[in-house]
Amino acid sequence: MSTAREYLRAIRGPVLLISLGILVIADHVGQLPFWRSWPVLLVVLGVMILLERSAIRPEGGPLS
Amino acid sequence: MNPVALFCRNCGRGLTEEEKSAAGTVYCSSCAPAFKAAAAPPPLPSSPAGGVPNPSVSPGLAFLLGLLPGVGAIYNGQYAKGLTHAFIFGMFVTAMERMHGGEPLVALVMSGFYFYMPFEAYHTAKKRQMGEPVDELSSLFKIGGSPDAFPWGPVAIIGAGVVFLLNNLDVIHFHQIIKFWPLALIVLGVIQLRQRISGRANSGMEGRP
Repeated sequence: MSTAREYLRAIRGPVLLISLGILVIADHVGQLPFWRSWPVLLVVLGVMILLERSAIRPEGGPLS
Repeated sequence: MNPVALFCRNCGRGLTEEEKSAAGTVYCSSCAPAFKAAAAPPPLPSSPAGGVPNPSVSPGLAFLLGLLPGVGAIYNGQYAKGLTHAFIFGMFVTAMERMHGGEPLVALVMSGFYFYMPFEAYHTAKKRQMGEPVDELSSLFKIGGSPDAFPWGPVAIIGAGVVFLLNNLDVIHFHQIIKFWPLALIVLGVIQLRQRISGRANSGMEGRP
């Protein structure tokens, strides 16, 4: 089991929460309304999952 | 020497009638075990990875709850997936409302997704019933899949995010993109073509959950 993968999975929630916080702040400050900026969360989530996948090395990752 | 009844399919050794009936296969005694192991389906997932079958899980109930967007996944204890399902469904409803000209496509995909959810919940519940461990986002993203397989899940999420972002920032609007939806058919065709031509050998492994 690769530890990098576990690490990335563990920080996925907090990173998304931080991104959400930043977007909501931007909304409240009045620069970027949240209804415009929310897809950033999708992009962040996708990038996190991509990183998680790329952290898997064939040496010992269990299938599934 | 007894007359040869058949030849081993693997090594070509001649097999007598007795040997044939003893082995019960078309392989000789030295080749048969290996081929039996290869041909036999993988053992049923009754308790892999130390999981315990859980008879209290009801796939039928999961199916019924799955008719409510996200609830089927929540029943399976997959909260993030439930949230994602509800979110995607909400996105479809929103897209339906705002889109001009692409409604039939959105409606079709949406109904497909709507019926995907209960079936997905059913199969996940079935897995849980068998004691198979299920990932939080199982069958949404195959995180532990083979490393060289193309990461469709994450790329689709990023793509959706970029499209929505472009729309929301008034760069490219949905109705400008939706005109080109038949492009999806072309891309799908090209992908399948590539698989059929190059990946003939491992085509049987594609689509395994």
